[in-house]
Formats: sequence, structure tokens, C-alpha cells
Amino acid sequence: MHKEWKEELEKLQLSRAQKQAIKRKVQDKKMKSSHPYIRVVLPAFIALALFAVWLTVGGDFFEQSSPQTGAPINESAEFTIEMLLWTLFTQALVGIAFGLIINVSKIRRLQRYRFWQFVASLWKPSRIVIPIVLLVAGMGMIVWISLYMPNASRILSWIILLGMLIDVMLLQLFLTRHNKRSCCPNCGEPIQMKQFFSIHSTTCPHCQQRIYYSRKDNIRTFITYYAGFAIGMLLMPMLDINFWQLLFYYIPLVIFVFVCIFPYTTYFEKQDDEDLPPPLW
Amino acid sequence: MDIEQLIHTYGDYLYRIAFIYTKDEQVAEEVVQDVFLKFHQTQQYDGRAAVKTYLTKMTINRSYDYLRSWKTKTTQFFEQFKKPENAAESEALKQEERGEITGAVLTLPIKYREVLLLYYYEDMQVAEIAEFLDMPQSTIKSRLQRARAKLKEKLPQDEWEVLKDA
Repeated sequence: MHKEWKEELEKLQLSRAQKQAIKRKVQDKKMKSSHPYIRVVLPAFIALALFAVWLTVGGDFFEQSSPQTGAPINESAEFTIEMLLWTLFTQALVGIAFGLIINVSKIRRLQRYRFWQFVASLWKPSRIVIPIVLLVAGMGMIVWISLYMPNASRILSWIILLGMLIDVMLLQLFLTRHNKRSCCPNCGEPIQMKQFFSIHSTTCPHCQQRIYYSRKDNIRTFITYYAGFAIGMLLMPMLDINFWQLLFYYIPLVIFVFVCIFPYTTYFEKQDDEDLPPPLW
Repeated sequence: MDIEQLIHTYGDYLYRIAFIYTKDEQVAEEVVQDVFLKFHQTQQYDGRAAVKTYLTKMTINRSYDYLRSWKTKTTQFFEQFKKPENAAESEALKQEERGEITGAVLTLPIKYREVLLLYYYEDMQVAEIAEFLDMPQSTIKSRLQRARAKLKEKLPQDEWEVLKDA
């Protein structure tokens, strides 16, 4: 009896194409590196949160020396612990909802059903548009909160700013979630951080070959980089923030882009686009 | 160790094991891919056991990881509520492709499938299975007995070989 079962199981085989695909993926050096979500985002979040708390508790120096104190904030006038908890709670909910939607839409079995196919299809063709719309909606909510509570305290404004920063970081990570770390087109080794600072071309430190930026592939990169900056710049004036808060927003964002986004969104080619032969037509 | 040769030699074998554990061909393929990827990346194999045994253990562990994952549990939860219209047809077709015995084995819980696979497909002894799964021999024996009894209900016309060393 169990011999019959063995015979049945012997019929279960991987096809040649499936084996080839496995070989390709195993040998692909790009698969070795993973996106440093936790290593970078979590410490950044903790550091920024502590910084914000420190500024709020003992940062009177910054408040006095701030060059852009157009509209003075009514400090702690109507601030209550309920407001703080409510803001934290809504931010947590937005984060959880964001993660859930992404995870649910990625479950392969669910994608077989029509509804989930529809949900998943929303993310595929319009990877950039939908998250931007979501982000703008999130920002709108934050602006609405700040308008609804015009006398919000400094703590609340810092928390809103922190939430905004995290939203933008999440958006950028979401936009680049399928990207693999940039590799040399000649030897397949990962490109080092300092190589990204060259403008037109660079030399691979492993094989010493000249490699060039791929302009075609880097169009999406451009949009990804500037989504956070542009949206932030548009919304900042509405939030009535000062110079230090601007620094608090933009410096971590720039570091984040260089460390987490650049290596996954910049691609290189063996040949410069301008050196390619002209089209036949 | 040449990874291409390993995939060629043990790919199908590991795929079958992963399939018996996960009950899904697509997932089984992913499990096998993960196993080879991990094997290639970590290079932790030190030759203390046969490569086949090492890869088998990796496949079983990876399959358990999948079965324990939040993703699997969520999928199973949603599948209870929504079934596609042609689910019965496609299920019958799959059953036919897989074979009657395999189909019956797949209806059993994981703890019974596991021991059946190791005992009847891998031809391992009870003591070997106990060592491999880090369980008492008596547990393996009782699970095998129960698994055979359950299979007998589903396949009454067939007789499974009795335990050789039970």
C-alpha cells in the first residue's frame, strides 16, 4: 500500500522552468541584502521622539532664539492629557491601517478572489499615485486636527510633526518596497554608499569597471525622493511651525533618503545613455 | 558544494516533503526556494549529517514557519468565509491529479501527516523519526497507529503495512 503512495508522490515534481527559477533566485546576489527597515527606522523614530520630548520639556533656549516666531503658540493653554492620548492613538491607528492594507493586498491566496484582486490591483499599476493620495489624505487629517485645535500646545505640534515625518518615511519605503539593493552591472556586487555621491558615473570598487547612472530607471527615483520634500514644503506653512521644527523635519528626512532610499532606487548601467547608438528610425 | 547540483538532485524530493506539510504547491515551491537560498547564503553545513538529512530538516522547519505564520492564519481565516464558485470542481481536479492516497493523507492533521511521511515515504524507523523530530518513541508509535486508523476510515479497501518495529 505504501508503495502506491510513493508512486503517487513521485509524480509530484518541480518543472524544469521552476528549477531554473529557483537556481536564478538562489544565485542572484541581489537577493542577499534586505531593506534595513527596522535597523534604521526604529532607532530614527526613537531618537526623534526623545529629541522632541527633550525640546518640549527643557528646550526653552530654542524657543527664545527662534528666528521665525510669526504667530506665537499659546503654550499649554488648552492642553490636556486626553488630547495627547487621542493624537497618539490616531497616529497609531493610521500606522496600523497602513500596514494592514499593504499586508492584506500582498497575500497571494487572497489575490485569487475578485475583491482582493481589485484591492491588490490598486497598488500595482499606480504604485506612486495611490500612496500619494493616501498621504495627502493623512496630511489633510493632520491639518484638520491643527485647525480644529488652534491653541494646540507645543507637545501636540511636535507630535504632529513627528507623525508627518514617519508618514513620509513610510511612504518612501512603501514606494521602494520591491526594489533590491543597487548592484554593479558587471560583477553583481552591491554598490557602496560613497559611490552614490558621484554625479554622472562612478567606478565599481570590486571590479574597477566604469559604471553609469541609468537615467531611464532613475525617473521613478526622482519622484520618490521629492515626494516627501514637496508635500512637506506645501503643508509646512499651514501648520505654523518654527525654524527648529523645520530642521527637525528635513535633516532626518535627508539622512533617511541617503541611507535607506538611495541604495535601493539608484541603478547603474555598463554604458552611458549618450554613448548608445542612435535609433534605427 | 554546487548549489545547481543540489537543486537538481534534491529539488523534487524536498518539494514533495514541503507539499505534504503545507498542502499547497505554490507554497511548497517557495519553501524549497527559501531552503536552497538559506543553504547557499549561510554556508553553515559542516558535514556532520548527510546533505539530504540536513536539507530535509531545513525544509520541515521552514514549512513549520510557514504554517505558524500570521499570513497563513489570516488566509485560512478568510477562506472559511469566502469560497470561489468553482472551488469544488477545482478541488476534485486537484485530488485526481494528486492521487487517492495522497488526497486522503492531506486530510489528516499535520502531526499525523508528518509521521506518515517519514515512516512510509522516507522509510525511516520509529527510533530514527523520534530522534529526527526530538520526540519520544512512544509518541511516534501512537501517532502512527492513529494515523493508520484514520486513513483506514478514508481508504477502507486498502491495507497499510503494520509498523515494522512497533
